[in-house]
Formats: sequence, structure tokens, C-alpha cells
Amino acid sequence: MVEHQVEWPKADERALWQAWSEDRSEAAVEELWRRCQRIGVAVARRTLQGVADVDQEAPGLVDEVFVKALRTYDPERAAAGADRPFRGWFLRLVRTASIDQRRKRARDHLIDEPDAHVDHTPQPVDARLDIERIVAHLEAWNRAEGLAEDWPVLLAWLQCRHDGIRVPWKTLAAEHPVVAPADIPFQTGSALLPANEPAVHAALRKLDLCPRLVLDVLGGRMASEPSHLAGARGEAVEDALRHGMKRRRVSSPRGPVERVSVSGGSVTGARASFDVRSGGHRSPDSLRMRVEKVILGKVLALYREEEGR
Amino acid sequence: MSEQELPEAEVLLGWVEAGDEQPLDALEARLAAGPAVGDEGARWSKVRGQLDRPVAPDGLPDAVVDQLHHTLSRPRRVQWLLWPASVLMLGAALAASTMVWVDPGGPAETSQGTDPSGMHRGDGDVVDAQGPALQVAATVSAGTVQLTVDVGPGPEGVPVAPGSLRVVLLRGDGVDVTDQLDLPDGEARRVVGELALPAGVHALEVSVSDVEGHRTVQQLEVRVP
Repeated sequence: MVEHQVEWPKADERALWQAWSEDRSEAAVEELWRRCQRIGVAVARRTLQGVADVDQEAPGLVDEVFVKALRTYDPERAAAGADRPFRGWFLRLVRTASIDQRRKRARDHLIDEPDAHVDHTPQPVDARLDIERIVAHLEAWNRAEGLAEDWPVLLAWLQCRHDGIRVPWKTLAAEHPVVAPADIPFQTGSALLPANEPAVHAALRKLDLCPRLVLDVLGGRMASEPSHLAGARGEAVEDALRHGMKRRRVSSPRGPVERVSVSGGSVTGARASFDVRSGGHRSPDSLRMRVEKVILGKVLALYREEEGR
Repeated sequence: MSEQELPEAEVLLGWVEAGDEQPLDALEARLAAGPAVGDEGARWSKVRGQLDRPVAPDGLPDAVVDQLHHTLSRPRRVQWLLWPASVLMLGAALAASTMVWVDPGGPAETSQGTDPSGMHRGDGDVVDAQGPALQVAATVSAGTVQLTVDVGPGPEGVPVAPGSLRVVLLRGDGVDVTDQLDLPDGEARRVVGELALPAGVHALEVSVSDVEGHRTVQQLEVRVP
């Protein structure tokens, strides 16, 4: 950890956000908040002008939006030419939240008194809800996704929520590397892919999840086969991966590294092997998104299905 | 910076909407030189506490997440049935068979039969006092559960009914997986079968009957990593 050596006040937003996203640097995120919060409050205060308690309302709203902006900011979707892409995203969220708040206040103003007959207590979950069925579906879906690595992370998330503590995403990301598929078997003397697509898709998903995952595709060869088949197999796998993969390169001290590369194989056997050369870890943010948006999103969908039964 | 010095809301929102960075930079610089907005130290502490807070998607009730936590965080238990031969011989008459749950992460749990006519063991095991002897062990490796089932005549010496051994996966209404195990349909005292199960905790129920219809049932829980 070299955090203390970085001069955060001089760092640009991308570096600050990256330091938070990948290393969970609180110093970096504090600097980001320090830069953004005053202009955020100004935008919120102006938008909420005329609303009672605006001086108390605006800072609280801005702080909530800042946390949301950190969670939802996607550097790949940010405006390419902007110098301050995070601030732009943050202020857009402040604007939207302020307008929503203003409308909510206006609605509340129209209702003089809350209806005493309306029961506002949260509805308990139906006792008949079959959580075991949801878990079984979730397990099956998780297997189909080819991401067994998600399960322990979900458990850790639930544990953290249960204990009311912050989730150590950085630790979780370090402790739960993504395991690339071992290999893809081919029929002897063939370089065709169709029957093997699930394995390619599993590798593709993992490449997309791990910014630093670099795979070497090795072409194995049976002694009786012509040697060019081994390379052809490796290239077929590489093409399939590249075709569906987000175009990313991994930066390294020696320059950018292609995330998928093909090597000539000398191993006997009709299979293309995957060899993880670098990384295999998800960023803390991608891990969080995976749990909160994807896995729990799936739980939400299953819950609604159960409700509809 | 006073309220009056701020641009009008439409102007400000226009800059935000258009991503116009120059006027926003100028405004930010002027605001940075001005007085603090409230107690910024306290606000930062509050924001800091919210970072990485576990958040479930909107619409997912907390109670469901709690149930999920409860279900998935149950102690991972590998069940081994230790049924001493002497107890097996004495059978239900002594009503003292003992089942030990070995929990790698916690203390062992022991339950003892109390009802001479139907002993309850653990989570739902019921043994007919006259039923055949049944002992089940499971070993797990690479997604495969190997079941070793020892059966024998009950205390009255009534033979085991051929083909009466059943293994049911306790999920939903129960899935009979006996056929998948390829168990011998004879009077073998020990049968071994393999069952491919997905990762997770699975409850199995093994049952066997004798030729007079007395039935012995045992449940076990296996965890497939």
C-alpha cells in the first residue's frame, strides 16, 4: 500500500475514483467528496429553492447522492472528453434527486394530514414464502452462469449486512479470485467450436468480470494430428473470446497487454487449455455490483415469482 | 458565497445538463473559497459510514434477505452416524441408539431416542422399533456424493425386503434418486452408490423396509463444496 505517497489533492478524478474502486482508499474518496460536495450543495439548494428547511435538506441530499454516485459511476460510460467525468455524473444525480425531492415535497404539501386509516407498518413477508425453493433456483442459476466464485461472496455480503458492518470488498476481492476454466476439449482432428461454446462463454464472463484477467490459450495436439490443428484450435477459441469481450487492455510497466493471447501448445491431447497469466481478481466495485445488482437482483426476481404463485 | 450570488436554477441545471465544465469549474473555485457548508467534518464522517454499506436492491424486502442469510449461513454440517454395534443389537428395546452430528465448525450435537415405539433422531429420523437396521455414511468428492448404506435384519431377525431401499432428495415434494444410485436389488448388507449433486447443502432421506412392512428411515445432510 503506497497510499501515503500519493498527493491526492493534485490527483485527477479518474485516479481518485480508481483508487477508491480498486484499493478502497478512503483518503482518495474523501478528496473526491471534498471537491464535489460544495458545488453539489449549491445545485441542490438552487433546485430546492423555496422548499422549507432547504439549508438542512440540501447537504443531506447531496451526501446521499455522493454515495450513490460512487456506487453507480461507470468510467467506461462516462463522457470521453470530459475533464471531470465523476463530477458530471454526480451533479446529474444531484439534479435528478433534487427535482424528485421537490416534487415529493409538493405532493406532501397537498396532503394536509396523513390518512389515519392507512396502515403504514411494513408488511411481513408471507410465511409461505419458500426460501428453500429460491435458494435452489439461485444455486441452479449460479451453476448455469459458471460462477461458483459468487457463492462465498454472497455469504460474506449477507454476514456483513447481518452484523451491520461495512463490507470489506477489497478483502473479499483478494480472497476470492476468479478461476478460469481449465480447458476446452475438442474432437480429435477437429477445430470446430460449436459443441464447446458453454466453456467459451464461461471464460468470456470471467474475462468481463476481471479487468486484469489475462488468459493464454494453449492448443494441445495429438501425436497423430497435423501440428497446425493445435494452433487452429487455439485461434478459434481466441476469436470466440475476442468477439464477445469488451475491448480492454491491461496496463503493465512494459506497456499494454492483450487480455487473450494464443500460444503454440506442445501438450498432447485434443484440447485448448486456458492458462491464467495475470490477475483473476475482480475489482471491489465489480464484486459489489455482482452481489447487489446481479445476484440479489436474481433473488428479487425469484421472490416476485414466488409471490405470484 | 451568498444565495444571491449563485446562478439561477435554470442556468445552473443547464450547465449540468450540457456538461459545461468551464462555468462549473469557476463556480466550484468560488465556492471552495467560501465558508463551509454546515459541519463538513461531521458530514464526511456520516458519508464515510455509508461507504460500502451492504444495500439490497429496491423492492427486495429486508425479511427475504434475512431469511436468505439464515438459510445460507446455517452451520455447515457433515453428518456421520455413529451407531455402535452393541446398540444396534439391542435395538429399540433399549431405546438408546445415539446419533452424533459432527460439525467441523462447532460443537457436536447429540440426540437420543426417547420413544420406544418410534425413536426420533436429529431432524426427522424415525425408526420403527421392529424395522431393519440401517446405517448410512456419506463422503463427498468433486461434486459426487458416495453413499454407503449398511442394512440388516431388525431385532426380530425379519429379513430385509429386496428392493425396498429408497433414497429421496428432500427438495420440494421430494425427488426419488434411488434409480440414479444403481443400488443392487438383493440382500447385500452393504450397498454403495454415487450421486452427482450440485454445490450446496442437500438433505437426503434413506429408507428400508423388511418383508413384514416395518420401515426404518434416516435423514442426513451433506454439503457439496
